[in-house]
Amino acid sequence: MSPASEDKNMKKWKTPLWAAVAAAFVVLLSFFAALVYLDQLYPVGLGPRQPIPFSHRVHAGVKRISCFMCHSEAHRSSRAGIPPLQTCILCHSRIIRTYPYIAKLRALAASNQPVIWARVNWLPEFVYFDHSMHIQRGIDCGHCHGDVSRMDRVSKARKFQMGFCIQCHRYNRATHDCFTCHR
Amino acid sequence: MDLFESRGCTMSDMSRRTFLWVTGGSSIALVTEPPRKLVNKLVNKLIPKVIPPENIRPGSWTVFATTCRECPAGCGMHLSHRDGRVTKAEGNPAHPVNRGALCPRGQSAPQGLYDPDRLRQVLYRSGGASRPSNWQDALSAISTRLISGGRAVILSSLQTGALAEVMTGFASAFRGKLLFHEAFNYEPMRAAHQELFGLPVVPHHDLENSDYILSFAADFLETWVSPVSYARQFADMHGFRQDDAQNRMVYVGPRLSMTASNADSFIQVPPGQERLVAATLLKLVIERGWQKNDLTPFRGALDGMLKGAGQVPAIPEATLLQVAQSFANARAPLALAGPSAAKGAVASDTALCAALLNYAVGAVGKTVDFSRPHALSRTAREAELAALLGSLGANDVLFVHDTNPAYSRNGAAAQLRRAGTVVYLGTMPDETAQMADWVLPIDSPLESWGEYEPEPGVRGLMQPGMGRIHDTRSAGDLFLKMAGLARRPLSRKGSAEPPADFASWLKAGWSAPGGEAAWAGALRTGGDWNTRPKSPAAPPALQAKGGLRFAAAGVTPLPKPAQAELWVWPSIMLYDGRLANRGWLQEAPDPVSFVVWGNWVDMNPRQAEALGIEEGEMVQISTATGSLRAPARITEEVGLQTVAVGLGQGHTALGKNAKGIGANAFVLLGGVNSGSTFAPCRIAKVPGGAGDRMTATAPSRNQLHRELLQAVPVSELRVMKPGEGDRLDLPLSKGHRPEEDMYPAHEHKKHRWGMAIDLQRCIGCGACAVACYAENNIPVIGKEMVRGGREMAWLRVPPYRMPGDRLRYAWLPLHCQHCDAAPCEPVCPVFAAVHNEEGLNAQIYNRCIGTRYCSNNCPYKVRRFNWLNVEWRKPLDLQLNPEVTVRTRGVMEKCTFCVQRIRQAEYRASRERRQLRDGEVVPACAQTCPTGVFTFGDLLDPNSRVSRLAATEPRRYQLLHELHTKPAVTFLRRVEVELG
Repeated sequence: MSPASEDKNMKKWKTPLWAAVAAAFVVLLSFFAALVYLDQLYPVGLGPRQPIPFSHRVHAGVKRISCFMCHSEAHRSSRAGIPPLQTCILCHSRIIRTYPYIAKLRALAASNQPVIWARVNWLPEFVYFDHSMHIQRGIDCGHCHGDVSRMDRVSKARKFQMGFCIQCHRYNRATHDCFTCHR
Repeated sequence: MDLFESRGCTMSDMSRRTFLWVTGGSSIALVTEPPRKLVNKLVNKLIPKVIPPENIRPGSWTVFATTCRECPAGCGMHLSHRDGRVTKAEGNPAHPVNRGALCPRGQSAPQGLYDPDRLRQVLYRSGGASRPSNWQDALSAISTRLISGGRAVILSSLQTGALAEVMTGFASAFRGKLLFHEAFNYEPMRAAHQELFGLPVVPHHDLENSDYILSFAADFLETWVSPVSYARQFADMHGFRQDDAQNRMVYVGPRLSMTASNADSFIQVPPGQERLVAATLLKLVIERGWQKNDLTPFRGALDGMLKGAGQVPAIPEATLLQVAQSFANARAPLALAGPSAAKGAVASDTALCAALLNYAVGAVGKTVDFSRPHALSRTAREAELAALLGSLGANDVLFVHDTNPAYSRNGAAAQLRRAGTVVYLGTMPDETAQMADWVLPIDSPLESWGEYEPEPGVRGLMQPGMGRIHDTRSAGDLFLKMAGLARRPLSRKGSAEPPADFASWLKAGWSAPGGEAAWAGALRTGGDWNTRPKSPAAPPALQAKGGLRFAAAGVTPLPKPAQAELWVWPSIMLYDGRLANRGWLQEAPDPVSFVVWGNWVDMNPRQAEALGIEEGEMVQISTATGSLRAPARITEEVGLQTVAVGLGQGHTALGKNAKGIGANAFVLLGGVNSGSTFAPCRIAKVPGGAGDRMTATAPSRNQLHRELLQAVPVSELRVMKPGEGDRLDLPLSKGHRPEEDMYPAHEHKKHRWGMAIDLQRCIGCGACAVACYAENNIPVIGKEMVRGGREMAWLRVPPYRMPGDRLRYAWLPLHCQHCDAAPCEPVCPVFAAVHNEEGLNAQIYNRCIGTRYCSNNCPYKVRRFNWLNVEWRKPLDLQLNPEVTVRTRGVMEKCTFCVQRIRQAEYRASRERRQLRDGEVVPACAQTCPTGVFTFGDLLDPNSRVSRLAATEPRRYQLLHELHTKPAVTFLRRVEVELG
């Protein structure tokens, strides 16, 4: 092969700039896609879109607010309870008042309108789970709900199927009475 | 609805290629669509409160104390509130009238609130057709009528306190009159007391401290005055006590009612002759000198009456003598006069004789207290009502509030129409609403503020248990608003300012003496009352001096076989008919006949034979005022030439459940019959009746020698010591006997739940069964399905004939016995019927595949199968208990001992880090029982009440003990009192 032809070949294989950019973009995209797919970008998944992008990561993670501050019923009732708007306003009447979503929240509270959240965790209606009994036994919230302190948009960490419940009950030698959950 | 309606299905012309294309496509769609999204479509919203009301917490019960307004008794009620809705009504344990219990009617209060047929909007009727209107138009039109000189006449259900003040003020502001119309107004009793003591009242009756009750057709355990209170008192008085003499109750009347059946002896007389028995007893008391107060001046009048009556009922002289002697010599005797529905001269004479009997034996001032008259004493009397209705004219604006004269008063509809404008304020589209010009929907008692004072010193407060579910207003607010619009604003006595609304009027009255604290206290406790036992006031002086007027004519002869005396009785479930649209009450069996959904005519077998009438055939009963058609029930519960019909059915309006069910017996009443309690009537067999067949869920009273319901004579009990009696096989490891048991013993570590049922205390009212419907989301399936044997009641209280007594029934509350060796468990192929860790027979719905083997193998027949998916007509679904699964078609269900209540109590104890206390778990049936039949507790705890009863009570037995199922329910035998 002559140097001339080599020269010619090199000229032939010269990539245009746009193609290089596109290739880099595709590589980058697939890298991100891989991150997402392997749950590296959102290690705890991405839950349903909420009307106000409340971040558990900020509140429970960064600010280290206790779960019971807002889910105040968890230790004394079957349900953990979705906090009333009053609870949000408790802080946000003083801090971060003007951020658009918080302004929206304050406007809703002022007009006595509730925020309609999208449900994340769900149990069939023939299953009766009691939060208070599990909290009392010292089961961490994260055991079922995942690490919400790393979730911006809370997602379902576990599939609440009977196997999941029974596995834990078996491990902890807790009751296996059908009438505990089904009645 | 045809359950097995087949859907027409034909093979389509789909080609193989299309088929593959469709199935492939849908498979891909299913794979790519995550199931969570499907779920999200079902329940995907979480709506928290903005500012939560105080004490209302998600997932927890909140209880509101209020007052029951299903009848004039005024029991205290607790409303269980959960997430914005009331799901259950229970008795207020602190209330002096009912002390925690409720009757079936009170239990059904939430169904009245959520009634799908409730009035939801203002209606205006012109020219026969009604059309929707709005509040503004209605109120301005009505107030314009009032401004232009209309007279305001108000007919209301019985009210006291704030609403009565508002209505009185309203009526007098517009030159009108207010009358409280109740179908049962106890006028005969009031008239008798007026004549004797100058006090036209229904006095306070102390059954609890009485030791001998003599009832002249007063069904005080069912509907008479204050049945829940009386039922509790009766059970306390009549229950078995090892050390005390057994107290007695004697019932004189023509029909074996539930109350009559609970009597130790039932003296059957033809209708109208209860007064003669009363007079004869009175005469015997005077003749033998057994009286404590002198009655000799009345002897002449008595003799005259007995002579004039001509025919004295064929009761052995010895029986009468014995009753008279026991009554007169009792420590605290009490005579009660009925029946509730009667108004004429005969009933007045009975009441007069009963009042004289009470006076003669010194019961007045002891068991009869005139210082505490019942609120019923304020209801309109017949003459007042007739005068008012007769005076209605074109210039009158008639307000009918929460009462239904068009249904419950013969001929009232035509009289009401004469009023210029009829305004109906009520919750249901009943017969009166059908003819009103304006129909104003008002709040249900469970949604409204109010008060009710059944007797002096017992003030019950009513508070809303939840927000309104329809566009309704409070009746008090409407009267205040209309008065304001008509330029005569009303204000409370002692305040010049008209109040902002009815609630502030009410609040002003409650906080007047004690300030804000009194109001807050009343909200918490449900009212204001003195719990200290009151000693009755001194007896009033006798006003009548010898010249008694016995008004009734002699006994009417009934020469023809087709003639009979009519006997009309209010049904324990439906009262005066106002509750007839409630599915629970229609499906709850009548205690005596066990018929559901409809009414019937009781007729003696001999008369039926003479007329050629057979069981279930349609008969027509005609009196001078009207006639009705209903199926015949041939029974000896009524005597010869007596027909008995229950009230409350036969609505032409009111709602889907009530309309067209049964026949209205009020149409037979209203005539003047001075010789009969109600009226003489004619019986005629009529064709037809296939559409209105009687449907009973317990067809036989016969025990067929199976000894299900057992009784023991008092004399036998007296010599028994605690611990003696039957050997029980308790569902514990000590009850396990290898030679009889097929399966190994169950190990119970924490609890073994059990129940004791005291049959001596059970009066058969069926409140437990209705409470069970309310608590456990049991569907109402309708007459057709019940007739097909598909009733869903987990708890039934069937009557059985007492051994050796033709005319006495006793009731056997029967639900799942939670056996230790349960026959249902081993036959379930999928382990849906399993024994749980606390001894309950669990039925796991999501495991059940509906083989029904368990039901077939259950000797007690207490399991129920869901043959269809029942839809709760909206908004009845709001009543569903969120703690109990709603079962679907193809699933077996049965009593769970209210496991949801057990769990809640256990969790509460666990959160408070303590042991469960005995009596902390109360199933719905035990909670509502007026007579305290049920004792629930832990059989593992030797000190629990149920363990002690099962171990020591000499009356104990187990149902079908010979089968060795080791049931967890211990029955305590009924007690046979030997008369003498």
